[in-house]
Amino acid sequence: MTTLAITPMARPWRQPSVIPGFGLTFGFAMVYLSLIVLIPIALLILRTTQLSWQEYWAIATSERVVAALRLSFGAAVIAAAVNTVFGTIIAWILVRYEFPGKRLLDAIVDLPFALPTAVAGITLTAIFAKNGWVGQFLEPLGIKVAYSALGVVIALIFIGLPFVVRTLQPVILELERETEEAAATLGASRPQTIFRIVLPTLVPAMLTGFVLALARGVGEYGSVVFIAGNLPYRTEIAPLLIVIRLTEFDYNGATAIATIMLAIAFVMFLTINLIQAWARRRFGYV
Amino acid sequence: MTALAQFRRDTDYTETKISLVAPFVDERLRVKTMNVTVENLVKAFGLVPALHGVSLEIASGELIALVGPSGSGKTTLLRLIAGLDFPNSGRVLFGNDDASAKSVQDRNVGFVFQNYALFRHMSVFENIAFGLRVRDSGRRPSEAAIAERVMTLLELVQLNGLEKRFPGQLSGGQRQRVAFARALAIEPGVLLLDEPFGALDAKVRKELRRWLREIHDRTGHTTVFVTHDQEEALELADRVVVMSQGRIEQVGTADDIFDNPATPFVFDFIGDSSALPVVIDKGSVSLDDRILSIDANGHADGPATLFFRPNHVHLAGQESGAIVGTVRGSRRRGDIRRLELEVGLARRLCEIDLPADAEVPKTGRIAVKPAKWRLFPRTA
Repeated sequence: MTTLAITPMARPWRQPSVIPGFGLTFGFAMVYLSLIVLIPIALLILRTTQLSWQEYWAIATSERVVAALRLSFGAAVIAAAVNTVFGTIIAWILVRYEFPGKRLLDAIVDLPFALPTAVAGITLTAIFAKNGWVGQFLEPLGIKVAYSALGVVIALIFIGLPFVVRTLQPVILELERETEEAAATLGASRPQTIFRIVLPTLVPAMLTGFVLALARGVGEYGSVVFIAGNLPYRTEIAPLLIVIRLTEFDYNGATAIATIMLAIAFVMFLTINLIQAWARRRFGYV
Repeated sequence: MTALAQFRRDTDYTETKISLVAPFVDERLRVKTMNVTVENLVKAFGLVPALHGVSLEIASGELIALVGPSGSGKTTLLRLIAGLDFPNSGRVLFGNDDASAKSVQDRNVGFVFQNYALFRHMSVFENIAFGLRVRDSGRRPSEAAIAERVMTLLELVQLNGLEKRFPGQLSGGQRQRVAFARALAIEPGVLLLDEPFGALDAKVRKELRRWLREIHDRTGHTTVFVTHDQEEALELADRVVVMSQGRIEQVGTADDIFDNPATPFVFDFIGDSSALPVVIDKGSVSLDDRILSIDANGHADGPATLFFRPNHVHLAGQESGAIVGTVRGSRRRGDIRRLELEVGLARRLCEIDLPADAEVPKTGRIAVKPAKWRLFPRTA
């Protein structure tokens, strides 16, 4: 009797399916993931183990590293937040309204994807420098963009924008018009409809866009090094500090900073994923 | 309760049974109803005309159905009454007030959408309370009053105990009833329903139909509903508005529509019918040059269409003036047998109902006579 009960339980995940090929695709995915992602990361962590805990802790808490990490993550969070707001508005007008030049604007959104990041960094620096197109107007106001933390944020906003727009567009397209009409017949004003009905339905997608923009911002190097000025303790980002350590042949120092970044990013993304999973369970959609 | 049992309870999609009680007027839900007047509404979407000058009087407290095929303009008319679309010309009056200048928010109409359009991120309670919560502070009821009203409505739609659920955890029929309660929460002057049972299966539909009639009797709202299901319209409504191609073909009770169809379209659309091309000449009606024993009833000479219903036909003997056709098919339907006859040179198919025990050849030619019929002049 026990054997009867156990036999079908032996491989509980192998259900007969009309969509075959699980074994093949799963195997391929695992090999691929191992080669591209897991093995490099494992080597990175392995390398860090050459350091003792005291050495590791000393690197992790050194003033320069802490400042760089704070700038990297802080600027990435601010930029992703700004992108979430403006990216949502841009996605909204691209989906909901017809206007001349719409296709062009739609295409421009993708430019930060395609443009080499160094080109973006140099261009932004030129515009926001003291004597640049925009910088000359900000300078008298006491706002310094180029060679400051603000410049880092602006570079990250630039490169993160498409992630939010492209995440939200299909979701806005799927919104049921009737839901907004229902709110209107119930007496809700347009702002009430936007803030109580539309935005709450978009929150999960906005969160996804935020995560993508954040991930991109944390790892960004090319555009930031041109606009930041790279002053240690002030405008030096963590990826740059890793490169500096490498050029000093301090491989252990570089990997230590890398693993700290990895750990912080992992915890952040896991938290956001859990929030999304909770929302999905609760509302039955993402 | 174990987590699993809780989960099963929360995701129980089976329909809750709707019990029907004798209608009584519920004073808590009784509202001041109003009559609705539609005057010459014209609406076109771009170059595509949707309504050609439609006028309609809806009495206070009436339950009226707009019925017609897809594209007949019935939903457009409903949306214009609600203020969800704007007419090119014409007016909508609520009572004596011209509603044309009022926004949809100010019209105070309860609108139920075909796909329910519930707010997915809100619980059933919050969905129903929404219309009260968005009022400006002067008109907004207290939290306790809102809760009381929501609970009264949940009782009315028989969803007590489900107020904490989210729309994703409800069955189709339950969602429809939440949408209904949500629309009633704002004490609307007029209730507008767009294909309210369109997305439900036949059994639930039938149940909800009776339930809607009962709710209407209890609350007394002036109610307009759109449907493509003529059976639903005839069974439920005080009066039926038959629409086709952006025009009203006929307005009347089920009896009017069935017994005195105003136009060929109504005869064809409502109920089963057959149509034969005939010619009227000096008061006699002929089909392919054979004179039928049918009275022209003062219709003018010229081409016409003869309409009759399958159940108004009986077998004729050898006498002249009958409609003669070849039996092409025979199906048993309950107590009757429905035959398909191929009639005339044009080989038009007619349907006739005969008693199941009638002696009819499986194939071959038979003669029939309609007991009731209608003639409509045929243009071109």
